[in-house]
Formats: sequence, structure tokens, C-alpha cells
Amino acid sequence: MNPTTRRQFLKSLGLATLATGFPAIVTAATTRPHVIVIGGGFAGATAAKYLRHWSTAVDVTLIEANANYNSCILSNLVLNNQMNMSQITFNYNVLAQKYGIRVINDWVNGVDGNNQTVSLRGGTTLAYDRLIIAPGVQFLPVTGLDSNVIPHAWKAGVQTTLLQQQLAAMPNNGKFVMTIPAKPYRCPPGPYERACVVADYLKRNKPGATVTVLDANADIVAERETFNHAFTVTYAGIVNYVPNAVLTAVDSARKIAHTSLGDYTADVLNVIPPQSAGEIIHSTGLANVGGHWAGVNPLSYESTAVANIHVIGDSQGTGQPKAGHIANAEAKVCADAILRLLGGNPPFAAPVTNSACYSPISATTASWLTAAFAYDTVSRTMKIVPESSGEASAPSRQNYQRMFDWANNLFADTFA
Amino acid sequence: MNIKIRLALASMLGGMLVACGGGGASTSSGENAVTAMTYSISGSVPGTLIEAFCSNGQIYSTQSEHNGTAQHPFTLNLPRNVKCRLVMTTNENDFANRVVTPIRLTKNGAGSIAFTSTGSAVSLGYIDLKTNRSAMRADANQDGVEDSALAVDISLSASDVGVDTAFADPMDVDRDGIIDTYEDDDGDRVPNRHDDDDDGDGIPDLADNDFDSDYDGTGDDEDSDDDNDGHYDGDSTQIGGGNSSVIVPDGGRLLAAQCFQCHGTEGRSVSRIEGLAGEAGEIASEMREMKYSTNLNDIMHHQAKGYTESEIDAIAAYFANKYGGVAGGGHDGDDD
Repeated sequence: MNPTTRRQFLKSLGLATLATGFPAIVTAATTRPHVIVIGGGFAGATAAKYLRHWSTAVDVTLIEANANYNSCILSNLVLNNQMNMSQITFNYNVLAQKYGIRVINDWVNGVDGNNQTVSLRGGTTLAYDRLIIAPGVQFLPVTGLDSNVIPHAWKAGVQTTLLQQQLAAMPNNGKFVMTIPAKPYRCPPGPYERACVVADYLKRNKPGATVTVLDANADIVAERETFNHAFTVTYAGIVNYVPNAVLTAVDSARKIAHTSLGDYTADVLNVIPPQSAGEIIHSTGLANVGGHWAGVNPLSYESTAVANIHVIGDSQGTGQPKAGHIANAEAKVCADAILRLLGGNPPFAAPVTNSACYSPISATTASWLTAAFAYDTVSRTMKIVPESSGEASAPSRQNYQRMFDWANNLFADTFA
Repeated sequence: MNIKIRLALASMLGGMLVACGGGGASTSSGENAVTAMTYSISGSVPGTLIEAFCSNGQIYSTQSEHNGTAQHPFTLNLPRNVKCRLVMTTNENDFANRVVTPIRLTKNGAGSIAFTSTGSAVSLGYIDLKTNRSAMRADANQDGVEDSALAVDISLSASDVGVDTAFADPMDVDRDGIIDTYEDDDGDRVPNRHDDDDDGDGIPDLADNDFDSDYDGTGDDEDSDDDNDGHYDGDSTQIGGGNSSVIVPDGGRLLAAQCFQCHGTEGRSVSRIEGLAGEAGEIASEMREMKYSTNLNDIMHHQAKGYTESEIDAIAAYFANKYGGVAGGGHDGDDD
């Protein structure tokens, strides 16, 4: 780090005056690299944790707008009353106390990639040696869509609660209509999982009610066998799956989805909008993959647009799925690489990541999906290892129990 | 059965094994006796069965004393330094009116259903338990178990009495403050602990054997080879020490860390998924077995195919270096 930014960093901490009086502190401080992590979801929290787990010689600051994190993983189970939000809400206390991570609850105003600084809404400016940005996704505007009325529930929390309340208030024989954007979007099996969980809830609580799934994609994007069976057998007569239905506009007041295949009127309408990398990725000039996602070197997740900035999780553009489990996996590759880079060494040349996800199909059964990704030296991308990819042969009660076992270890590996 | 899984399952199976449908049976295999190794937890309640589910696999219980008032005192002696969780049941012998209230202890802002003491007594004061179903705080699934644990503050207790701050509780898999044995898995309005058939599959719990770690069709209760490695179970691998003579190849740390999403940070699982700490001798052989197996209805049988032989050896070497054991790719002698 150059002396100027270091001084700004100390000033931002209110230590500049103190440091002047005690030169030894300045010396000590200048030898410690500083990594800032923006965003405290599965990607950012894991990166912050593992940077400190693997090295106490680096200072880590985690900047997150919210004091608590609501997990999207398991959040569909709030919709059929099998979970409540408090069971999937986490804070950053363990990361702060056990790992010595400085946690700042604030919004980022902007990133200056040339001077390697981050300015916060609260007025503070922080300098970094390496910056990790993990903002998740932003939702792209849809004509007529008011998400405060028509929830997406694709970022867990108040949106999830709103959709749960609307479902609870839905009449018997009511129509639940949901829309799925064209891929890539956050959590490939998630929308189909939601259709199943809502169908299960309606089957038990709202006689005669139906689920219409309007999918912009030509076919089910993930766990095709499982969900096709669920839609056509388990929930036959309840779920109507409509492929190639591209959403064009929404009438939020009258709960109508206008699509390329016609208009669909709902009692409860759930529009999952098209997605793009978080706004900060765009404002920092990192969205160089299709104008939507951040191009990165998959050995380190360093941006291909701006040096010393790394992007992990849903906003990265490597082609790996956008989901919490693999975001945790990417974060470890990134943290390992940053520690090597700060020590003057190249990143590990052959990283492997993995994706795994349990999907509830009803209030008692679940399915799963998994794959491993390995670095391909020719294309310099992460490629799926074909034989590692698979899905459960059938939903089962045991998978439902294992879903919680999986989630508990993933939650703990990320936030504790 | 693998010992670690057996211990983890003990809490889950505990309810099944004693489920009698007759109501609130006391199973205090650890007696309610005062010894140098115990401490007391006391308070007053309406007429109540008080149970403590502890991480040593024991369930301790006592009845409150009828003393002529509406607030019956009780004292329960619990083992020191063992994590326990309190559940209180009124009308314990009346199937239709039984009310079960899990207790969540809070201390200086922190709260948990699990607590420990190194010796100091814990006083809970009067606890306002409900004595009929219609008075319950919340019971959406109508199983007679309060939907949320009742918070009781113990901030004035001695400093060695602590509420557990661990991230996950193996006795509460879905993290809702209701231990698994008091959940109602099959939705028949009878909590598992009082249900002879927890999963509602028509097979009584004592004969049911559903949990099948290795998906080989034989449930763990009867399976002497949970991980399907061809060797009988019986884990005696010690965790600790490490073996610095085992050199971890470049990337071993990062490759091993990819296991932690499911198996816990540094292989220390907080759920029923098998931990990897101390299993260095098994990791390479099991990974190879799964890499070349044709069983495709198992996540690990897919995941293992994502790693090369040398990557598998690097992962095994990492665990051997950290926790000890030999990572030669063979068996470690204890056939776990």
C-alpha cells in the first residue's frame, strides 16, 4: 500500500494523531495488509472469515448495510409455514469476535479503483490493498412492477414474509402465478422448488387452488427430472408449467402478468424479475460480461477490468451457478489467492469448487442437485466435471432431514 | 454404526426409544442425585414434569412438589460441564391436555435452549407454564408443544453458568428452539417423543430403521458398515496432535476447504453429516471408492468424481497434517 492511502486509512480510523506521537505504531501498521470485503452474504462472509482463519497477519474489514443476514437458503420453507425467518437469520457477531473482523454496517458510496479506496455513506473513506465485492444480484426493472405489492421474495426477509402473508390470505380455488426470468438468475432450482412448496401448501390449506409457473426459459433449468415429475405427477392438477412465457409487463394493482404467451391474472402474483450484478459492480466499471456480470480470473476472482478488486458470489461472471453454497466455495478460492498474492506468490493453479443444494419438494420430502467445477487451463475457465453432476433419483424424507444437516454446516462454515 | 453418528443420533433416537404414548415417562437414567459432579437447577412451576436433555446422551427428570400453593418448587441436579436443554410439561399424564414448554435461557442479552454450569446452582424463579391447550402461547400445529421456547432470564446467576453460544445444536436440527424429540415430524399432532411412529410410515419406531447414511438399503441401526467401505464400523481415531511429517502439497489447504461447506469448518461437523477431522486414513480410500462407484444416488459419489487421484491425496494429506493419522490412501486400522 502506498503511504498516502495508508495515511488516509489511519485517518479514517481516527488514529492519525495518535500514530504521529507513536511512530512505532505507524511502522507496525504499514506492514499489515488490509482487505476490505463489501457484502456479507454467503460469499462475502465466507471470504472475510477464511482470510482471518488462514492468516492473522492481514486486517479484514467487512462492510455490510444490514446488521442481520436473512438466508435465501431454506427461505421457501417460510412460505409453507415450515420455518420462520428467525431460524434463518444470522448476524456478524461471531465473525467480529472470533475472527477479529472489523464489521461496519454502512452503505458504500463509491469505490476508487485507482487510489484503492472505498467511501462510505457515513462519510468515512477506507483504503485497501485488496478489495472483495460480493453484492449479490440487483433486480432489473419490469414495466408496471411494484415489488412492494407484487413480491419477488428472491432476497429473503420482508419480501419472503410478504409473500407468505399473501398466500395465507389467498382464497380457496385461488390462483398463484409466478414468473421465472431467463437464466442466468440466482439459485437455478429455486423457482421450481418454490412452485412445489407452494403447491404443497395450497394442496393442504386451500382446496381447489392452483399454481401457474410462467418460465421465460424453454425448459426447466435445473433438476429437470425431479421437477418434471413433481409438476406432472405429485402436483398433477395443481401445477401448470408454461415454458417460453417471457414476461413483458405487470399490472401490479390488478395482479396481471403480461407475457409473450398472453395475460395471466392471479390472486397472488410472484414476479421474480430478471437479474444483473449488484449496482456497485456496474458503478465501479466491473460489469464486462454481457453488460451484466463481472469478468474475473477464476484462479483469484480478480476483476479483468480493475486490478486489486475481486468479485465473488452471484455477481461474478465465470458461468458457475449463482447460489449460496458455491459462493462459499468461490470465497475460499478468492481468500486463498489473496493471501498468496499479498505474499508475492501466484494463486493456486488448479482450484476446484463445488455446488450442492437440497430442494424441498413438500413439507416432508426433498431432492438434491450437485456438481464439481475444475479449472480448465486451456479455456482458463471453471468447467463442470461432467460425471460429478447429478440429481437425486427421487425426493425422500431422508433428504429432507439431510437438507437441514447440509444447511447447518453451510451456515456455520459461513457465519461462525 | 459409526460412533460419531451414533452419538449424534442418540439425541434423535432417544425420543423414539422411550416413546410410549403413555405420557411423560421419566427416563432419568442419570438419577436426580446430588454429587460433587452435579449442580442444581431450581424454580417453581404449576404441577409439572421437568426434563433436561443433555449432550452426554442422558435425560434427567423430576416432578415439581405439591406444596399446597399454586407454585410448586422443583430441584433438578444436572451434571457439571455438560450441555443440557430444559423442557417442562404440565398435565404430563393426560394425553389430550398435556402442554409441553421448551425453555430458552437468556443471560445478559444472549439466549439459548442449551446451557452449562461448572458447579454453581441455577435459580429460575417462577415459570408461568400453561396448564391447558387453550391457554397456550402459540401452537399452530396443535401438537401440544409451544411453538417457541419460553425465555427465562438468568442474568443474576453466577458467572460460571452460561447459555450456549454454539452456532448449531445437534439436538435441534432445524434451529427453531424446539429440540428434535419434541417436534412433530409426521404432523399427527403428537410430538415425536410421545409418538410410537415418528415419521408416520406405519412402521413403529422400535422396528423402524429409516436413516441410511450410505444409501445401501440397510438402515444405520442394522448397518455395521455405515460408510460402505467394506469394513466394519467402530471409530477409535483420535483427533489431535497433527502429524507435521506429512507434507501438504500445494493447494491442499484450499482443496480440503471445499469439503467444509457440508462437513464443517476444518472437518468439524455441527450436524449429523459425518465430520472429517481425525479421518485422514479413511479419506483417500473412501474418496477413491466413491470416485469409481456406480452408485449415483448419493451426493458424495458424484462429488468424488470431481477430484483427481492426486487432489484426493492432497486433501487426505491436509487432514493428516492437521489432525494426525496416516494419509497413505489405505485403511487406518480402525475400520471406521
